[in-house]
Amino acid sequence: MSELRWNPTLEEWVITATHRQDRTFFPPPDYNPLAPTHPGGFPTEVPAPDYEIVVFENKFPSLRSHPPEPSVEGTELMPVLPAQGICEVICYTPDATGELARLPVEKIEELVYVWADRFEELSAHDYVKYVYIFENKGKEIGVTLSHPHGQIYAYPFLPPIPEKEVGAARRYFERTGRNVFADVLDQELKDGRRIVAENPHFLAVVPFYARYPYEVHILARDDRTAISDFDAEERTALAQMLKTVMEKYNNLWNRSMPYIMLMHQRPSDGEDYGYYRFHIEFYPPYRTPDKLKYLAGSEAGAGAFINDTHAEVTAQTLRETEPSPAFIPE
Amino acid sequence: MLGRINRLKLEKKRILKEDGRYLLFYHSVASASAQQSEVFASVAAEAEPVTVTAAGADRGSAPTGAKGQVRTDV
Repeated sequence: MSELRWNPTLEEWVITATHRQDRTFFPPPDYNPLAPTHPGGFPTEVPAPDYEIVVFENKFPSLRSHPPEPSVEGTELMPVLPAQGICEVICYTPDATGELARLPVEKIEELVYVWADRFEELSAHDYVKYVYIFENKGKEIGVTLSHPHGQIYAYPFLPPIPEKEVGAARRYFERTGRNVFADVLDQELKDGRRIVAENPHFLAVVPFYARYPYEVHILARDDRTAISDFDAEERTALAQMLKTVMEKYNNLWNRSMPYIMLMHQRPSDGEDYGYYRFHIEFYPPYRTPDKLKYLAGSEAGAGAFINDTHAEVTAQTLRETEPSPAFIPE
Repeated sequence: MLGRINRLKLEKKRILKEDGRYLLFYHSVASASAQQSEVFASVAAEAEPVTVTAAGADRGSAPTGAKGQVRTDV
């Protein structure tokens, strides 16, 4: 069962999805549900013997296009709504042992096109207010299937962090007449110490205000508010930048770096968000090769992040790490 | 330099699985293996394949599509 429960003390929705307790947890290789279905073999999510990129509705969704009625009654103070939305899974490759960083740029570029297509199609639903594209990679992040894949949540509301970010960008624009993301990009370029990589259309930085030691943001140089706004040249550049950043991560400690990768885009409510700008954020959970950055009391309870490093130092380390494909994860 | 600028074109087919969930196959003629092209051709989709390109992106950051006009051709 799933439903939306309103928290009036934070003014935010919480999604309950009790059926997800039963979702597949690290199945053996022969029972990988994201692999192609081979003749005579285990029937997977993809009823075909091969594929390139596939997208399908999550078997254990938090949000559904036709959601069940809530299991509890809400009140005026704490209302409850059906968990209407869409949860999709994107399999990047049929190769269960691969990872996004190791795909050729051409395949990552195709994925950019698929992400853009999904953003446009999901945004067109009446009930969808925000399309959130992300990838959880690595068991440290809580991934239950190691096959290379990402997810998309089409929410019926604007989630708290994008809402806060869009609100800040709007207020900055009202105050200054400028785009806050453009100004951040300009300052990062001018300073230079936090730059990890750059190309004609994107800049990768450990931002001045990084919350995680090796957090990287990929910033668009031009005013684009969604991935579907990028033309062909920009999509190529985005694929190249993604591969560069992910290869640097893997080469940093010569192992496959776990991370959360996410896209922040304009809300899908048809309003004008010209003061906002598309970007991608990476949150690797490690602060050293063998120490995790935990979200503990200050972060989890107060929302105040404590970063044990300086962005200038970790950016330099990443900048000097070659983006070569030399490292092959086991 | 960005190197190759690929005017990419993907084809998309949609099927409904036995449990009613949809599944989308994306296919690139340029990069697919022979087997992948064969499999894509054999997918019995609900409708004709849809072409996915970067066309339309030139409009810039216009608000995303008209609500309620969900594409039914996929």
